[in-house]
Amino acid sequence: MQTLPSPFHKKTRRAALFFWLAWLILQLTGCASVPEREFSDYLDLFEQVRKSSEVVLIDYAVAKKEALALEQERDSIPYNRQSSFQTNRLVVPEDSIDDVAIRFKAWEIIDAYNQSLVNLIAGNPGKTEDKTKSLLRTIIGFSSNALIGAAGDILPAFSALKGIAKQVEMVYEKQKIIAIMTQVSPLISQQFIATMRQDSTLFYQVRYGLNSYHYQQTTTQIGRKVAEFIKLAHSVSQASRNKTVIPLMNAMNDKLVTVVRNANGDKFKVIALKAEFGNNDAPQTLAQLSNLKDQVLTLIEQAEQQNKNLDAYRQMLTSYVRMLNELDFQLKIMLYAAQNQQTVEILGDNDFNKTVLRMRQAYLFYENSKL
Amino acid sequence: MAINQEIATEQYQIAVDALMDVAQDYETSDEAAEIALDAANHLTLEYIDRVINDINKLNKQYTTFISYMETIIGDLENTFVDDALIVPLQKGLAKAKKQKIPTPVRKTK
Repeated sequence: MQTLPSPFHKKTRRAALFFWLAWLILQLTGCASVPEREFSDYLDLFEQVRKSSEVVLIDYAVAKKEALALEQERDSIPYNRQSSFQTNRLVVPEDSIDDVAIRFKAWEIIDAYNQSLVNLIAGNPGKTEDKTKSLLRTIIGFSSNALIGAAGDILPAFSALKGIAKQVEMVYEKQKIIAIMTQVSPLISQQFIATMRQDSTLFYQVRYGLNSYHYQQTTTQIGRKVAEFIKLAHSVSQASRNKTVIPLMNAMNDKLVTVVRNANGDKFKVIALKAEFGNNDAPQTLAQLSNLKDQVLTLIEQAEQQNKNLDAYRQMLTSYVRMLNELDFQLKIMLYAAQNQQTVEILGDNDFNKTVLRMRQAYLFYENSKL
Repeated sequence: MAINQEIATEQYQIAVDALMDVAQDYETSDEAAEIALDAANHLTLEYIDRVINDINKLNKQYTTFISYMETIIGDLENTFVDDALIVPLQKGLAKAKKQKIPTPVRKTK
């Protein structure tokens, strides 16, 4: 700072203080700025991923309820001479937390954090006024300071000081925001997004288990109905078999070979009748065979729908995890832009919109695939 | 998926597939099919139960994250003004105080 010539004129002193504050801003704060475009992209993405996550979480809550209902249903069936007594399901831990609620809260807390950053970046006029007064009080508080006279002089120039104070505040806040982003962004990636990814793997397993439970019922019924059909088919005459049974059997075989029975992709066997004939050609028998064929085909449709439902859920989760990945990526972009003070051109808006669209389509497909 | 989860899923799948081979077979008796299905259902519900427990185990990671974030937000909202603005200015003023600036002359009427 320059030594000012005497006499210390008011205007000169005022200008000195003004420039001194400007110098202080540059010396103490540098020229840091928050990457507003990247931050805005991050906020948009955050909202979309949060909405998708809510869908996934609610679906998990429903799945959990369904699983509990199935367990209770089974528990109500009387067992014969159970050899073991399981207590783990009967014990509710004291620190039990609702797993869905805690995940909603985690989203809320990041939202609150985002809002705090938004407020700080946008600035708060009320707070600026208070801070300006604080700044003045600080300057005036230096009673023995050489600038005390100038402090009195700047009061009429309050608006000018207010502008400077706001600049000081904003630059400091931006610096602090960048420091906080540096601290918090990796944490959101590693502790939150990574755990959400782990969740999605487990959520799929729950849905897979529930779907399997119902699929087991359906495919067992297919097997039982076909077995019933085979037994009855052997009771009719060769003529009735050729005329009535074979077309029914072929209609079933066409469909049976398409039904996946298990995770290995094994299909149902085709129905093969032995050369055994009877003489039960009663119209009721033939009607029953036709009815069994209809039941088998209906069950096959049901099994196909259950497969579609599981696949739709997997697709929905795939889109969801892609969105989580993009949020993670956007956090890294934002942090890079903040730390390096440059705009990053990596991900276009269209890519993001496509991901959101895919998620919505997958969700609708999943909802429509429910029985 | 963690290794333990992968192994658990694989073991579950092998056991259930074996049971369902019996339950779905056309030549199995109704009674045998029912027993096989019941066992497969039982294993499936146990499997789901175990996965839900694994999900519960992740709750702690969220609670740790939430409490950390609450601290950060508190810091953002409460301790900002003094630390960020006033303290550096005070330091700057203290530095300026040590520099040679002529004391202003107070004019008397």
